[in-house]
Amino acid sequence: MRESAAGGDRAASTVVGYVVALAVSAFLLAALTASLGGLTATHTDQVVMDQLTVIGETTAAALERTDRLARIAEADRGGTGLHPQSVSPGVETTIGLPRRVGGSAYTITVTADTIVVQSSRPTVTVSVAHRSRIAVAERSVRGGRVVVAYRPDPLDPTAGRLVVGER
Amino acid sequence: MASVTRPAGVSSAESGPARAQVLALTAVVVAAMLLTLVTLVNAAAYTVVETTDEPTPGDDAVRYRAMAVDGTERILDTVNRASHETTRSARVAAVDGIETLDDDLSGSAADRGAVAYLGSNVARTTPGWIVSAGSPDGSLVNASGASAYTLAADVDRSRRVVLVVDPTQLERATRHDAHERAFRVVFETRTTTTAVYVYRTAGDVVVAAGTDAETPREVCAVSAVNEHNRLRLALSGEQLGTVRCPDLWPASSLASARTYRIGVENADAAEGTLMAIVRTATTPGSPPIADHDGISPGVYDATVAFGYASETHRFETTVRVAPGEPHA
Repeated sequence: MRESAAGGDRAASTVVGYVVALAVSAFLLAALTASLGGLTATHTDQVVMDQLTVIGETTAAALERTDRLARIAEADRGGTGLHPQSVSPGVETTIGLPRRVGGSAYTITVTADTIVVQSSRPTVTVSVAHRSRIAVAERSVRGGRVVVAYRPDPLDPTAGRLVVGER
Repeated sequence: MASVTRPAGVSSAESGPARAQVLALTAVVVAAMLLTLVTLVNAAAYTVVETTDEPTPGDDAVRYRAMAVDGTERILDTVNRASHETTRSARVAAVDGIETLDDDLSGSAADRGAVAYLGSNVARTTPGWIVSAGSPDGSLVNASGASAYTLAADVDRSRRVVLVVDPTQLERATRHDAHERAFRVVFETRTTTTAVYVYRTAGDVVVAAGTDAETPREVCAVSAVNEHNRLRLALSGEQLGTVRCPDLWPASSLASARTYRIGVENADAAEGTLMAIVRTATTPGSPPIADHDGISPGVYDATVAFGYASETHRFETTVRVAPGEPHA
């Protein structure tokens, strides 16, 4: 660096000015990203738990909706006066759930009165109660498109079951 | 940090605006980057919410089923109001109406991105008979002058059993002398006879019910003073005008009976009309046994297959539609 005798004829070039500005911007951005990343890591478990809860409640709502429609269909079947085998009600509800939560896969296990949603990384388990009046077949499925179907009994309108599966 | 000597021809006064431009440009770049970052973070959060949201509930399936049932009920009522030579022609008319309703429903569902269908055929309809007593002058006595006669016998099921009377012409009675004085409709099974009495007291029109000849219990009443016109008693609908008449219909005794008879007694104690739509037990295609001429062919019920499918739901059911039919 040189300075003239007058001391006032030095100047930074425009190119240098741009480079400096971009460097400062990049630094700020990196700092911001790093701090946000730390924040995200801190809240990952909570976010995963919230998402699993939403998934559990969505599945419970689909189960209860299918239960309601199936009971309507069975009441209709009973009211026809026809032989039960000659009438076959059909009810299905499809829900679109995320395939992964927090970057990893998860499973949904449906039992008689509860839906258990479990992710492996991080290990988080959430249970949501459901109020299906029709018996539910115990089964586990992976996330993604999930279908809740009613499987009627050909002879006994009260012996049908709700079954959860993958689509 | 590198620097260069200002060129001889450039003064410090000229370099000031250039620096300001650089700073302004830097501010704009930083702001744009921050804005991009915020947008990306929000987009990611929105995507998570969106993928777990379920925007289409199953209520549409229930709504379309209700539309199908209501529409079929209206079709059966319309067919039974029209005059038909045979029950067969009435049933064909009902199926034609259901096909038209199917077109309407499927068109409506298609507008909502779904599929709905409704189907039936003549074999899935049941012959019915519209029985009505009451002459044009209002008398409920039958053509041969009998005040006790059979409205319909060999009945398997009945619906829309309705009595319309002139309140001012009802016989005055009390609960205790109703059996001797009051107009009544009787439902007779092999084991029990249940009667519904309609009479007038000092200020009310009273409906009472009881089995055999026992003193009936009052079920409901309306003020006769306010009834200037005809009063409608829906026996199977358990309603007098706008007043509910709980347990008026003899559901338990009729449910256990294979067949029953609907009769009228003390017909001269009221003026109006008595109507019912019945299904006969022994031969559904044959008219019921009756002591009057008011019998015409119609449709008793229709069994329809209904289906609804959307991106998220599939619902298939079979419904028997018999408008106004009580639970027994």
